[in-house]
Amino acid sequence: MNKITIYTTPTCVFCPAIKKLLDKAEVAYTEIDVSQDADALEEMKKVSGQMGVPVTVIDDTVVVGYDKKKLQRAL
Amino acid sequence: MYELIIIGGGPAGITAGIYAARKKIKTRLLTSDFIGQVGLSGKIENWPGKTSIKGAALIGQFEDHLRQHDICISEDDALAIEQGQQQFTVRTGAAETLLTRTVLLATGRTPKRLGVPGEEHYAGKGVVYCTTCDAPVYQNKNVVVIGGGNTGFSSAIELTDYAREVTLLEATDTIQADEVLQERAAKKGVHVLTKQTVQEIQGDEYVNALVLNDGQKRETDGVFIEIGHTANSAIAPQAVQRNSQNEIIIDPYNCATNVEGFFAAGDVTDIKDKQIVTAAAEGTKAALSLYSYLRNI
Repeated sequence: MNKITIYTTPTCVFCPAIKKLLDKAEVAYTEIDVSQDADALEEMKKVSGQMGVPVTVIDDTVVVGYDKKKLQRAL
Repeated sequence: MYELIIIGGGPAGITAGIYAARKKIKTRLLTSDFIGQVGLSGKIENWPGKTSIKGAALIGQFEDHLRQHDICISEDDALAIEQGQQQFTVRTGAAETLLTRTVLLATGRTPKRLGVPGEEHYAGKGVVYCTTCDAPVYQNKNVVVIGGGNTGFSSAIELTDYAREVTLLEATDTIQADEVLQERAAKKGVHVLTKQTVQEIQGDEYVNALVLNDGQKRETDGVFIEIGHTANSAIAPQAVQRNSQNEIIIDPYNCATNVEGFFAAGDVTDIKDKQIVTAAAEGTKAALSLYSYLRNI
């Protein structure tokens, strides 16, 4: 089973699309709101080098943005 | 074979899909997602019936409305359109080959890039194209918005809820944004500077400065780029006429192009006003025109 974390903000427009894709694949995931958690924001920057959401981490694969093909390949 | 393939899941494509379904046109709608420009918008305050609604919520309602109808929807990319004898072939990202009598292109527009050194390198590292998504990440930061149109001003206003300091830079000496947005930005403390062109985006690991046209360096933690859009018309067959902005040239009476059976609607076309309400109206016009066209061939 994949370990999946998705870093989001409450206003992220691509995040619901990613969650819909993960739900459709029937996989569990942890969602972290980086707007409310400075440590989580630093963690997201560390794993992805990014300051923007969404960032999805599927095991060792980091997917930046809503890259449907890369997400599907990583699952 | 389909009677109609609609490409695009924004207001034009969705509205056309609703009308096509109600007219029982055998239709397939292809869209890579239901986000688009509407989904990327923060607050929308000019859609009748809603004094204020988030872009993601509005496009979600459009999608739900569409799905109430008997229409085949694929969240899949259209990769190519080939023109044949009284039909078109549409190839998709899922390796489907679809035949159709007509096509309605409603692929909208995508945000323009600035095209300056540092922009690509710092994309996602302080260079932002989705203010709505990332504004909350810039709590107490000093940020700059590039672009003095409605989207630039809307972004700047949205950022004032989070950032410590918001500056908007416009390249020309004239602000094009609606007066109501300019007034709101002023009340929210947005600094507006005209005749400011960005020459370079600099930083270390993340963005930390802009270099302007006069060589002046401006420190910033984030650069939000809102300088307009380009039409997503590349997929249309070569024979379909475009204007100098690559917008599909349509007959304003019926959304037909110069290619028989190939129609286009919404922001991908050369219509003057690129608004949600006009895109929806164009989608309606196109679907009803396609209905007449299909019944008369």
